[in-house]
Amino acid sequence: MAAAAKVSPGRAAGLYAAAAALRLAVFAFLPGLSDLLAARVEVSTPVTSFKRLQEGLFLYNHNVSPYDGGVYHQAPLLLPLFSLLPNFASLPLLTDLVYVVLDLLSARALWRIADSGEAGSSAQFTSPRRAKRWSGFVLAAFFLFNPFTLATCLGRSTSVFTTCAILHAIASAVSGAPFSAMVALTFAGYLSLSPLLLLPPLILLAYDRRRPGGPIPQSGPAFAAVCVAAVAGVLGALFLLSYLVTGSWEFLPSTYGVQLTLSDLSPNIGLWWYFFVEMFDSFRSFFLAVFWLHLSSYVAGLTLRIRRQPLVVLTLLLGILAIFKPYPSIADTSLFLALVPLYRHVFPLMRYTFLSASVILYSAFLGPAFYYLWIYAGSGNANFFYAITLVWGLGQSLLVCDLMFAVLRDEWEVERPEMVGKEIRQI
Amino acid sequence: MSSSSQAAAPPQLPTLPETTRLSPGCIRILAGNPGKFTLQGTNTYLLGTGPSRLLIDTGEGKPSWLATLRRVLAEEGEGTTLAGVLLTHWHRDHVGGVADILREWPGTRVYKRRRADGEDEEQHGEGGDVAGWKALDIADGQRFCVPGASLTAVYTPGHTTDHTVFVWEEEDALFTGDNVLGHGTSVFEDLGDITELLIYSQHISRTTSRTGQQDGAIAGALQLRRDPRILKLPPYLSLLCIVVGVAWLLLLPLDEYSRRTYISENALLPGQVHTYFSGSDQNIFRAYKHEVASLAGKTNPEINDGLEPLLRGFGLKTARQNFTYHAAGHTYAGENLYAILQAPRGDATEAIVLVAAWENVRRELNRNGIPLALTLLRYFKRWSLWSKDIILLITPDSIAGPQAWVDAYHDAHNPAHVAGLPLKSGLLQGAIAIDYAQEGRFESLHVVYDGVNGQLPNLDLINSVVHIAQGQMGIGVALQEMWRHDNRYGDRLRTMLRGMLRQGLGLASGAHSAFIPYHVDAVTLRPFGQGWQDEMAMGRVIEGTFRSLNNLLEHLHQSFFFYLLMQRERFVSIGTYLPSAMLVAANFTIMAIALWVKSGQPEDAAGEKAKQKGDSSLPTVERELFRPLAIVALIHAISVVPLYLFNHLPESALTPLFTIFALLSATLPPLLSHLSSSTSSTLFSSLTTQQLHLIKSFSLLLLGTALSTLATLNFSLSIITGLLAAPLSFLTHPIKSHASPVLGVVQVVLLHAASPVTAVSVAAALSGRGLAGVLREAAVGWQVCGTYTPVVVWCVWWPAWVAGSLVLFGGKAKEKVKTT
Repeated sequence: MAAAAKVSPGRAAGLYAAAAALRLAVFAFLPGLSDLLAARVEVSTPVTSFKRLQEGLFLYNHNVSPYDGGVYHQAPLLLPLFSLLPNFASLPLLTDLVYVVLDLLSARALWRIADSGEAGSSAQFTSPRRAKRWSGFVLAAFFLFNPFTLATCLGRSTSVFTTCAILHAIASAVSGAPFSAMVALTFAGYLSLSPLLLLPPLILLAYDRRRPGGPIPQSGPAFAAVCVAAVAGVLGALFLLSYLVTGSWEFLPSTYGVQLTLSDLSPNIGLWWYFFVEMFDSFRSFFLAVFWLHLSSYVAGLTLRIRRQPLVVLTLLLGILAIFKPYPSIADTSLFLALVPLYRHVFPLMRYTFLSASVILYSAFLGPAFYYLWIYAGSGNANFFYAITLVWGLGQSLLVCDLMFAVLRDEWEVERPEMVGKEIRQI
Repeated sequence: MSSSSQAAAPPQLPTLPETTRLSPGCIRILAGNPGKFTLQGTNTYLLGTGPSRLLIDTGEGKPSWLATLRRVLAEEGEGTTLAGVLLTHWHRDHVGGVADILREWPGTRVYKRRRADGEDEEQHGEGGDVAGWKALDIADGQRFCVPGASLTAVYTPGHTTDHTVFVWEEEDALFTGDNVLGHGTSVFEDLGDITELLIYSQHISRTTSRTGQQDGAIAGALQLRRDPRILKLPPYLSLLCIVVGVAWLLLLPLDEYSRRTYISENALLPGQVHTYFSGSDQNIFRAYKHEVASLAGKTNPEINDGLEPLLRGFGLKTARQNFTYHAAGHTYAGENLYAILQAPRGDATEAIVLVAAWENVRRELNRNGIPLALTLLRYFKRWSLWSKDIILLITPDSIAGPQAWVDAYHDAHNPAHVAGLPLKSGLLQGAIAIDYAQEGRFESLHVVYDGVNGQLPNLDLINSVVHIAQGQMGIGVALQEMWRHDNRYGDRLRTMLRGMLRQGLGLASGAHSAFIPYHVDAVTLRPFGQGWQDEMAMGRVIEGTFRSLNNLLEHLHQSFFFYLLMQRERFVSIGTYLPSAMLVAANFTIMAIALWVKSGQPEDAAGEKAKQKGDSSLPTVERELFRPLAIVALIHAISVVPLYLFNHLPESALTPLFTIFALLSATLPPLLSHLSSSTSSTLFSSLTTQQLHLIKSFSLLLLGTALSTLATLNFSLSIITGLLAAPLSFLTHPIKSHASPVLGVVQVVLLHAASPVTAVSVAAALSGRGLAGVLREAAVGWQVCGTYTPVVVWCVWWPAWVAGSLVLFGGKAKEKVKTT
């Protein structure tokens, strides 16, 4: 199949420069906009908010445990990183630069994933439609200029770090570097816990794309064992480092505990908070278990069912995480939407693209409006906003299901060529 | 063979070109093996219109044929591949190229019916030189589909025992292999079968049908979905939405749809207390009136210097606040003066505001309002029953002053323009503004309740004022400048429409307007008419209202924020009126969906034919999304320019700017569309009909989304914009696509009727303020009050209009190209 058209280095540099310039221009000339975005619940959740990070940073710099205030719920190692940067209040440029560079690195990783062609032709499955695909340039552009990505970066949400780590994990796995893939995924998991659910499909992806003669054993179980051991080892090291930085193990309940038990019930675009606001305390632990079980149950099912295309599993799981994780934000959606265009070749098989795009568009407009009516105008109530977050979740799950349908149909048509182009129906 | 190109058998065979496009979905490639049996060479056919194609037969394996095939595939567009190879029978001149194909495109699927005599499938061909490949069996009636070609295999033994022909549904054509040759006749292996075959062939293309028969309900739904009439429906549906939306609105003033107002918050207890503001207070009022009259005409700080000692004399804390706004080249600066009466029975956590602006919105001196406010405050100070602080706010004007004060009270001010407040009280629970500029006795009270951006105070506040004024004091109440109201349909409708227009404009309508966005319920009370009510009666109404507000235990919280008032005691609630705005917004979404579906249908003859047949599935063509998306995004990005310019240029530049802008937005889209037919390679060059449909679809989708969101925030603005922009829904076909010039003119007129530029000009003419006046007011609203109406006009409506204009004037001018 024709390889994606080669993009001249000039165009790539132009794209990155344009994306960086746009972000820096907003940071510099419209500081009000980025402050506004940082305050939005759609962008900043309790576990990714930049304002909370600054609070934690202040405590940390004054030799108080950052978790004492009960406000900061993010990973401890972000603190020394940000305290190395000049004070944000006086010189925000360097902090902003970090965010911009992270976005560009994510785009670069995405580019690598796209150019590997893994989406169209994995080790065990080659799509007959793979010829039709977008180049890494297009994907990077889609990612960098996606309004959700822009809002996340401008709102200085720390999920930018997680996004970057996940994309690098996938890019490393695809390019046959299992060890760095595991390290990157561990960082993502360390920063926001739920990416650890991506481990099984990532191991499969790394296994499928391994280079013969690599340092990791070639047999399946041994490969997986080494990968898991690597993740465990790196995670242990990060925890130890965190302990040394903060001087106590308090960060474990304050960061991961908050995610696991949803102790901060500030509204967000996810489906958990309203449910648990309404919940009687006696049922709380039961439903927490149910919600987490529900979230993690997708991993095994999808990994087994779409074994032949692990990258698809990763994409779908990222979509599912964006809907069902405890504190989702538009950053998670932007990551999922960044990977969807990899499947350009199955787009013709998707049936509800317009519907899901319209639903996402509508809820993206109505969400902030209803939040405003609830919080500022006082003329609406929490039900308004929660109803819209349900629609938002519906829109995304439509997209996830539709993509899954298209990919499965693509596989199925290879097995059953006589059914190509036929209407399917449920019996 | 399928084509009718080879009509009769001439003595000398016509020379056929190497490749021929027989129809949009079929290319014939000669196998390059002319001979006695093969005539001009075996015909092979490449079928389909999309990226994946079907190949029927492969020739005998000449390298030239393979090269031709490779070239044809490349010419058909990058990434065109073979979905499968269908072999009619086992002869070497039909299967010889399979090995080449498998070498060139490994993994290609090859289909051939298994031979009846059970010959091993792996040893094909007489020559036996073909490497071991295995074909998949073809069942009788099996279907093969790629975009643009759906084939049904029919087993036709005769020429060979495995001979299969293929029926091409879209074109009603039959690929007969060697059963029927274009010239001369074939050789048959099995003569017994051939007669049967000939009879069968007669019926083949009629009798073949889809293999799977759907069950009743699903089949019915699918049938309905594919019915071409469905696609004719949306414009009518869209029109219906608008008509029903408007009719709905007109029904609202009827008794059946509107309700009588009622006090929902029982704690207010309006009109339940005696008011004692009278008698000796009148003398005090006269004294203050003299004071105020002596200050008239002085500068703002001098006035405040004169008033502040009075307030301090009551034993109140006072403070001042400076503000400076710049809008439309003018400066709106001044100094607010305010005093706080601390509640004898409260803890300073809540406060009620009494606002008296030195000038009202019509720039008249508030000559009775200021003395009345001072008298009232002095009177309030004597009472010990207040549980909430009372703040008296005296502002130099009715728009900028209150705005600056409320912003600063909530720490939402821009310190560059507005100073902070040195003195604050608790949470503001309500505000009453007095606009009492008229001299002498008055007849009735005018309640002004519109807030900035069309936000409204809680209806209970208005109800309380009406209750106290009318029920307790016997003073009539008017709304929306309806000085006389007969409480019949006509007057109710007029009141409602006036209210909607004000709400839609979103401008401040009095000193109270700035409070409402902060969830502080507020109204302005303005006496009017010649009657026998005096200042004391007005004072008692305010006293009664303050006593009611003083009773409040918490904020007015009933869901009474969305209403349309049509008489002082008659209103419609959101549940009843919202559907009309939603229906108007939905009309855009319906058209967007219709255009999306339309853009997925093929424009060529094959599509037309399929459409006419009606029952067969409509083929969907791939949509080219990138350019439409980019164009719509670009138009929306550009819309920031008018928004910025109209809100930042000085007043003197506004009229010329508007003229230039009107000219540009009228001429630029047609110009760009004209460029599109030339060959320059810009974003706008040579847009196909599909892309135009997509542009229109996306822009209407955005418009519909924005307006339905807006309907929840500012109902009136949404429905007004929706109705004014409604023609855009119906201007979906480029003028060039139909011949009638009359229709074209009508469309252009409609387009310009739906333009925001026209709307602004007409509004300027009707309001009598002139273009500059209207634009200045919009700029002041934007800069001072944060009115977002300009955003809706320039960033929602205008881009949709530009996209509409682009589509109307766009399109490939096929005729033109041909004539030149």
